[in-house]
Amino acid sequence: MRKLMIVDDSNIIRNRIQRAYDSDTFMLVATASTGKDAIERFKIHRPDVITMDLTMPQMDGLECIEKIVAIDEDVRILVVSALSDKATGIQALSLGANGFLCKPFSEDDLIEALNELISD
Amino acid sequence: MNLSNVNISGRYRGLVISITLFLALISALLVYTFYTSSLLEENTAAIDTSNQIANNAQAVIKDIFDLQNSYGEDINSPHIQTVLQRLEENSEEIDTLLVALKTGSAYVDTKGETVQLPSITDPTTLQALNNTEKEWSMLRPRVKDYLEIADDVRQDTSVRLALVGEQAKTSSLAMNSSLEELTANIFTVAANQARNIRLIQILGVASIFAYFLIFIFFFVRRLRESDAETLEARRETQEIMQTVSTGLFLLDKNLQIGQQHSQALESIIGSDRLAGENLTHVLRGRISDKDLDTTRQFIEQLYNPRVKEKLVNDLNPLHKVMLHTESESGQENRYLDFKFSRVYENKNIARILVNVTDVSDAVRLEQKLEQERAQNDMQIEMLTTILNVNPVVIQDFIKNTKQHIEKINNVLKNPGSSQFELENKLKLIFREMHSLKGESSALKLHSFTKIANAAEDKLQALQNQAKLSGNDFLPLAVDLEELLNLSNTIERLGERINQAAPQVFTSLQENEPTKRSEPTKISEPTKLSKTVAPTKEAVTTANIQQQENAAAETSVITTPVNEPKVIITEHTQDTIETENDGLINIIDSNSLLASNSSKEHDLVEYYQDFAQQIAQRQNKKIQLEISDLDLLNVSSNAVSTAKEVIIQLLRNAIVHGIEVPEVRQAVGKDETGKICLNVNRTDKCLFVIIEDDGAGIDYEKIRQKLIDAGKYDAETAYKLNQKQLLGVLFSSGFTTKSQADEDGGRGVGLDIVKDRIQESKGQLNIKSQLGEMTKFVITLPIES
Repeated sequence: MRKLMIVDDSNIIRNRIQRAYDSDTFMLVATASTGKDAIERFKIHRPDVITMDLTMPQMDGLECIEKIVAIDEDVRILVVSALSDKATGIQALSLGANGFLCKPFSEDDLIEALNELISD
Repeated sequence: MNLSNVNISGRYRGLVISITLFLALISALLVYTFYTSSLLEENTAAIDTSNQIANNAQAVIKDIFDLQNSYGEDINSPHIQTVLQRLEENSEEIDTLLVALKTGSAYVDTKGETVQLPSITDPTTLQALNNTEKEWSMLRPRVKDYLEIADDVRQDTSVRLALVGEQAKTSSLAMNSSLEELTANIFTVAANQARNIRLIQILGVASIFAYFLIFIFFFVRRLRESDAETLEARRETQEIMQTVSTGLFLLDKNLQIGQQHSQALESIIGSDRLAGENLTHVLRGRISDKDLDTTRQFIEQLYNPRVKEKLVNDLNPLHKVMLHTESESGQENRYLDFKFSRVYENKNIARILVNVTDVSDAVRLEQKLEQERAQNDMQIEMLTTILNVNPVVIQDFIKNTKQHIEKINNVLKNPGSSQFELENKLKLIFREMHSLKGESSALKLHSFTKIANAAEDKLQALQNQAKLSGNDFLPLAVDLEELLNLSNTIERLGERINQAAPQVFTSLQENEPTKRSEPTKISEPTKLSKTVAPTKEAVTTANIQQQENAAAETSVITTPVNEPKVIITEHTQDTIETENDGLINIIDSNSLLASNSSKEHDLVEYYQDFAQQIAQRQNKKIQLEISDLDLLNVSSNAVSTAKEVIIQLLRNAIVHGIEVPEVRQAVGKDETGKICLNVNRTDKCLFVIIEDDGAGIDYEKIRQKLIDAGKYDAETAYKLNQKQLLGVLFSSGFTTKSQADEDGGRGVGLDIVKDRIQESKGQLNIKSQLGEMTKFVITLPIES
């Protein structure tokens, strides 16, 4: 069972991911709508897997990824963002994210991406 | 890769084992040679020792006989002393040598060198040694007995000397023969050993030689086999690389292209120098710098082991990338799709395999499909409009459009020569195009509006051009044709509907109220709540008539006027549906004709729709109140002028008059702006009154614009009075809006209003209060 945290400022996307993830493999331990909250909750719940939005109020996804990876470099991060700027997505990878899922996504896309994320 | 690794290490293991074995063989042979040669040395030493013993024994016997012969001589004479001493030394040496020979040990010879003797195992040799020892053991005690007393002059030595002499006679021969036998035996053993050594050395060298040959044979054969395999593999790779239709190559961490790549790659990329080149150099100038930069970062991340290869496909900047290629036939753009896959070596990312395909056809097909889809959407949009909007309005629209197009065409046909003529021509076209755009946008015919907007962009560019020429107008012909095609399409669609419901369409074409048959209500009456205040209506008309007298020329009225109002609420979704139902009913029931009230209702709705659409695009909130809309049953140009003027003034009121909700709230107004539209008529005149509670006309802003545009210097601009400034507002090309869009900002709208009113010999009154309101009153004479 992997601990999952969902970070997205959109309530709709958070709910979408909550509904879609595979509950046999993952256990939702926290959700956050700002980068700042995400770091606080990461420290408390220590999730193994994070879905991360890039554009958020109070610290964006890039900064958030950098800080979280500095705390625990084994955490797996899936960036879930719209594909307006590929360069930003790639920057997220260079800061420690492990993969990228483009919004909008289907439930199958998400399940597949999360499973790929935790594969060795 | 891994397979060939195994092969390589296996081949080397065989080689290492073979060489080790070879060295071991040589070493063994060397060790054996060393060992046997030491044995030979020992045997030689044994022969020497045996000879030494024989010599010593001869010397002992000779000395004994000498002593017998010299008996009676002075015992202390040097001769006797020397002989005695030699006898003793030789005897002792024989003792030592015999012991060494018997035990096979080492001894130190007279020269001080250590001599190692072999242990004697050969029985014949041992027998000979034992015999010698036996003989010596018989002689030795007597020599010893004699030597004990030989120095003593007081003792009689003759007896012992005689005894030793006696023994020496017998032992001499025996010792000689046994020692000879010993020597001969040892010699034989040594000779045997030497022969063995020679034999073994020959065998050893021969076997080493044979081994070497076998080794070379197998090794070379194996080498040839693996070479053949490598060659075959390379040939296969080459065949694949030459035949495969996609571009294949390997990319290292520095984005260096590998030495081998598929032949198709050259034609796909359009370059024949690729091996060993840097991918960024190959692509530079052919994709955008931003894409190039992103590509570099993307590939860097592919080498990042944290990153999941399958989860970054969406970020690939070279997915369906457009590549500019310079070819013989000029510039050519193609779409390429680069796919990247990691190549692992010992679980490390060693290289990236890149697969490039030319997807131009697919992309173009996609674009074509998209275009066709847009075309279909457009047709559906038009169909929807035709079905939703009153056919009379559409009929009007088609008629107007054709008129506009014809006017523009006429202008284009008479190319002016002077700069002045050309500029006027441009203004004229601009006006027509703007009217056309306004009308199409009111009908939500966005495909129309889009073309008109594009044409306006071109005209705008021409306006900003310093010098005009007749050729500058040529590109407009394309837009005109497109517009004409579109209006023909609409007309055709209308005709189809006409075929389905011939009478209806005929009636719709009959715009003349005198020809109109008795109006019949369409099945569903309007659902609009329409509150009419009939008593106040007369007052309104009276007011307007009063104004008509005052409005002899364009002037500014500053006194506030309170108008009675007839409020029509905004239409809602279900009213549109009702309208649809109504229309379907028209087509179904051939005999029905639109009534006056329903036609007025359609026009009201048309203006409402138009106004709300503009408001939405401008992010404004408005409420359009239409009291009377007495445009029907009037056979006059005044009606079409009025319609056109209303469109322009409504647009003007929303775009320039009404403020955005935030601003309205800030100045204490209701966030929804109010616009009142009122059309009345007398027998002779038609009155159009449009009033908004927006920002009013900002004369200072007009003044500032004039100065900014460089049309006047500051001094002259400040001398202009309000009337003159209004004149500017209504002149061509003037706008207070800084950015042109679908709704305005090109400074053409009010220009059209002025022109149309002038054409109809009408009048225009404006009243405005800064920050409060603007009111336009247009009087149009009705020809009898």
